Amino acid sequence: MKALLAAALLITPGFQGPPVFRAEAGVVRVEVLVTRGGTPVRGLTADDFELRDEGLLQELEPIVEEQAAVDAVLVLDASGSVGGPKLHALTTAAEAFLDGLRSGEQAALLAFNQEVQLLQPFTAELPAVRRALDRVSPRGNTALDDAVYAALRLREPGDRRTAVVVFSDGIDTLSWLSAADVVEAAGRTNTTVYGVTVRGKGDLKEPFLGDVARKTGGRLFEASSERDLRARFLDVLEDIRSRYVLRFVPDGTARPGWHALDVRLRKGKGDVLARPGYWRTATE
Amino acid sequence: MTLLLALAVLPALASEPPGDLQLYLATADHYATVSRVAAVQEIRRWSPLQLVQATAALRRQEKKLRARVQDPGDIDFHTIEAAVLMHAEAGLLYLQQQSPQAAKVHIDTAVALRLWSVRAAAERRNWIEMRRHAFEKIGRPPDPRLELKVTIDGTDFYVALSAAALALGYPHVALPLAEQAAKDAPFNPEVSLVLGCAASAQDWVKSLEHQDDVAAQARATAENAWRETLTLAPGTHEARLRLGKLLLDEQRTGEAEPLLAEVDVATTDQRQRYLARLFLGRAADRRGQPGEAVRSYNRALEAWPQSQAARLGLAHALEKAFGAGASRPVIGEALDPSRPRDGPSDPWFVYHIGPPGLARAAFDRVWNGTLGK
Repeated sequence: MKALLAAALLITPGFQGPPVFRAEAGVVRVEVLVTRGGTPVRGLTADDFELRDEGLLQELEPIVEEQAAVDAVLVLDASGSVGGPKLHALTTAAEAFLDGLRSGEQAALLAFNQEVQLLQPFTAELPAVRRALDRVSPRGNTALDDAVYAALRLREPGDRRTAVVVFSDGIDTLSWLSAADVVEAAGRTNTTVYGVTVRGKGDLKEPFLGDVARKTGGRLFEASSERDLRARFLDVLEDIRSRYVLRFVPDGTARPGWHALDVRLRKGKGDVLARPGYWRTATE
Repeated sequence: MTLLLALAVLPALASEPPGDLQLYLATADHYATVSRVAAVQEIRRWSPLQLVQATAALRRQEKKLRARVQDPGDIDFHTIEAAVLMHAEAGLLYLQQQSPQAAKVHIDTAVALRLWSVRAAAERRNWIEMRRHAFEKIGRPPDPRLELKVTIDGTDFYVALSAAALALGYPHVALPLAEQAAKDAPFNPEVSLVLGCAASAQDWVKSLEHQDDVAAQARATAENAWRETLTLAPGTHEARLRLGKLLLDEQRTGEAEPLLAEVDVATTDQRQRYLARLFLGRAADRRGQPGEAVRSYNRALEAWPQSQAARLGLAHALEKAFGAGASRPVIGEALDPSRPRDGPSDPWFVYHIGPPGLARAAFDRVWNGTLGK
């Protein structure tokens, strides 16, 4: 019923859902978070930013609206260590995240142990994603790297912002792809990766989630305990909502390959978080 | 249900058991003659202290060991061997239930009891030999019940325990058992294969724990063991496959590829063929030959059509060769819930815990050889 209502709203003349961005040839999109003292800074315009592509200053298009529609892929660890109360806390946190998505925004659900399972493909019908959470059934090993790669390549890059939100409580034990391969592949995408972990004192640390998040301009959030998971998932949502989307057509830097980006504020103080670069193919 | 069965069959043992030798021997005898399940259930109720008390009492009764029981107080040597296997099975059951501490108590007891029984049999043999002349002098041969015959094959015993502990995901338990087997049977290709598998799994775990020195040592042990297997039995494709994978992980791609290619050509085992092609895909990728990697991954999928690992490798190789767009249809296939998934699961998922069937084969040999089918 809710899905029908949502569909009706989408086709009703005059309905204004969150804006999406057209995928225009040659346009590079960079999601940027600006914080001051850990608090997101809002209300900035393109004139407030300075962006360099391979050291060359670029002309930014006006920021249409900072609250652009975001689609999310939830990637949840369903290995043997995520059982009992932790699973309950995880599904509660994921539900809270889904509750924060807006009408017209889509979500997909992947779960992984030694195998990666697509429990729900992209859909704007978010109750279906919530229902799919019931099918997360922890057992076995952890193919974290494989799952992140699959999430990054789940669909064609288009005109919609996409965030991959990965939860894992441990280290990769059985991926076929290497962490280095997946981090490199993450650099070839417009998707922003967020990691959420919960680790005990003696737990092994693995840099992969932090590395892949950094490569895409995302962040890693560490929960102190499973009770903290919901708050961290909501932190991810706030981060997503607080980002500016800068767009530019590269000028003077047409060569294919990796392009280093440098994004700063022209004036004023603040910490700027953006992806460190992007991959340009020969056909772009 | 099993507990009820145990209580029905062993009414005398239903209450909290003391560390009593007679009760202990009755449990072992029950294991040998009536119900392995019930006896294992019973012995698992004993505390470590009770086990120590009972086995210590047993050692003090060494002189009463007989091949066959006739007089009151005799202890049947066959019952002692049954106790060895009973503790081994109890230990493995604890491993299966992810209780390694409890498992250690029983596995250590099994090993210690077996060593003691072998030594006791050897000493009895020496004792009889030394007195044979005296027996002949009085015209009476030694009582045949005094001769203790060891029926548990030591090599099979350690191989079974090691391979089973590995298959249950406990390489640190498996490795010392495999090393013991290698000491006992240094020229047995099956033993060196198991030793290599246990050491390689230890390498895997220690690498995850960033204990690089321990991992490197285990990796060296695995390499040597599998080379030994191939020297002793050149047709052992499992050792060739695993040696190839180890060399690949060590970035020794040039050494790895001929071994893996040989497995691909020579093996008749579809699992081995699939894994060899999967690993060859990675080798080509490492050499910067994504086109060749694509071919190998496609061939891996011919051998094991359900494989998600091969599809992920294929997607990544296609991405390297043709861009990210080329990988998406393959990712779609890899995640397709309608992808055929019947049959055994992807052998890659269980690769680190040794080849399937190894533990079962050794287990059957030693248990059937000792207790009969």
